[in-house]
Amino acid sequence: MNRYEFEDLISDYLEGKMTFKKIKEFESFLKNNEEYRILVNNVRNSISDLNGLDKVAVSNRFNEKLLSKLKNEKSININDDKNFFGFSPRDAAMFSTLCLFVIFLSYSLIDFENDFSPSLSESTRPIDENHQNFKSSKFRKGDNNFASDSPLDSLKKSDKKYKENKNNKIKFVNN
Amino acid sequence: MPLDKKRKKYSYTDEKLMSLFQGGDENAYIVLVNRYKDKLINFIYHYLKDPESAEDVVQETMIKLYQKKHYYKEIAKFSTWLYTIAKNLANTELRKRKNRKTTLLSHFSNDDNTYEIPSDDLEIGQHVQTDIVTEIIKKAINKLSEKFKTVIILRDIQEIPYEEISEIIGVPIGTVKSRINRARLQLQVELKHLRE
Repeated sequence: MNRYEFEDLISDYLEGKMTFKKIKEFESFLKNNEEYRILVNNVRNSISDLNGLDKVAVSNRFNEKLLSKLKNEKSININDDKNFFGFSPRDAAMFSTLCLFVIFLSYSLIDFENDFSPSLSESTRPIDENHQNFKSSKFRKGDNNFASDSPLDSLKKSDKKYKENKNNKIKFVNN
Repeated sequence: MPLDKKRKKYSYTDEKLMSLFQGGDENAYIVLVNRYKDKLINFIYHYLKDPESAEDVVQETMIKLYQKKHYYKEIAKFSTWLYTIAKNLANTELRKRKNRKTTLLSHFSNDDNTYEIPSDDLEIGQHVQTDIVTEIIKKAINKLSEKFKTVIILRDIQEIPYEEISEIIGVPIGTVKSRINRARLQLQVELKHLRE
C-alpha cells in the first residue's frame, strides 16, 4: 500500500466502511508506519472535535419574523399589482393627461380651421363677382366669338339646324 | 383535518411538499421551513461566523423560496436548490462585508491617531481551553478552499450522510468521498501545531 492508497482509505477506515479483509490490511500497514498511525489518530481527533462544535439553532421567533416579513412582501406585491391596463397608477395618469392634451390640441386645430374657412370663401367671392362683372362688361358686348357668352337658345337652334342638314343628307343618299 | 391525514402530509418528501406548495398549499411551505431552518443556519454560520447574520440569511433564503417557488423544477433535488440559494446569499453578504471593511480601513488610514492594540494574551487568558481549540478549528476550516469547506461543514459538523451531501452539492458520491478525505487531510496540516 502506498501513501496515496492509504490516504484514500483513511475516511473509510474511520467511518467503518471497510471490509474485514481491508481493515486487516490497513492496520498491518499502520503497525509498520508510525507516521501514518499518528496521522490517522489526528484525523480521528479532529473529526470528533468538529462533531463537538456547537450547533447553532435559529431563534424562537424565527417563524414569527419570517411570516411578518412575508406579509410585508405580500402587501408590496399587492401594491405592485394595482395597475390600469398594464400601467402603474403614475404612468396611467401621465398617459391619460397626454391623451387629453392631444385631443384638446387636435380639437383646437379643427376649430382654428373652421374659423378661417368662411373668410376663405369670402376671399373667393370677389373673384366670382369680378368674373360676372367681366361677363357683363361693356368690353364684352357684341363679341360673339365666345361660345360661353352666346345664349343657350342659339346653341340649341344651331344644333337643330345641324340635325336637319344631316337628315337631308341621308335623304339625299337614299334618294 | 383528521390527524392521520395530517401525519401523512408531514411524511412527504421535500419534492412532494414543494409541488404542494407550488399548488398553493402554504402549510407545505411551513413544513419545509421547519425541516431546513436549523440545517441551513448551521451551514451558513460557518461562512459568516455570526449567528445573527446567519439567521438573517436563512430568513432571506426562506423568503426567496416563497417568492421564487415556481422557478423550482422537480428535475433537481429540492435540498440542492435550497442550499444553492442559501450559499449564494451568504456569498453576497460576505461581499458586502468585504466592501464595508475596505471603506472602514480607508477611513482609518486617513486618521492620524494611534490606537493601542490590546494584547492577545489577555484575551486568551479569559477563554477556557476548549474555546481556544474551537477557535483554532474554525480558523482552520476557513482556510480550506470553498469546495473542501462545504463538504467538511456538511459531513463533520452537520453529520449529513454522503448521499445527501452528494444531492446538496450536486456531485457524485465518489467525488464527495474524495473531497472529504482531502479536506480532512488538509485540515491536519492546519491543525498540526494543535496536536504537537
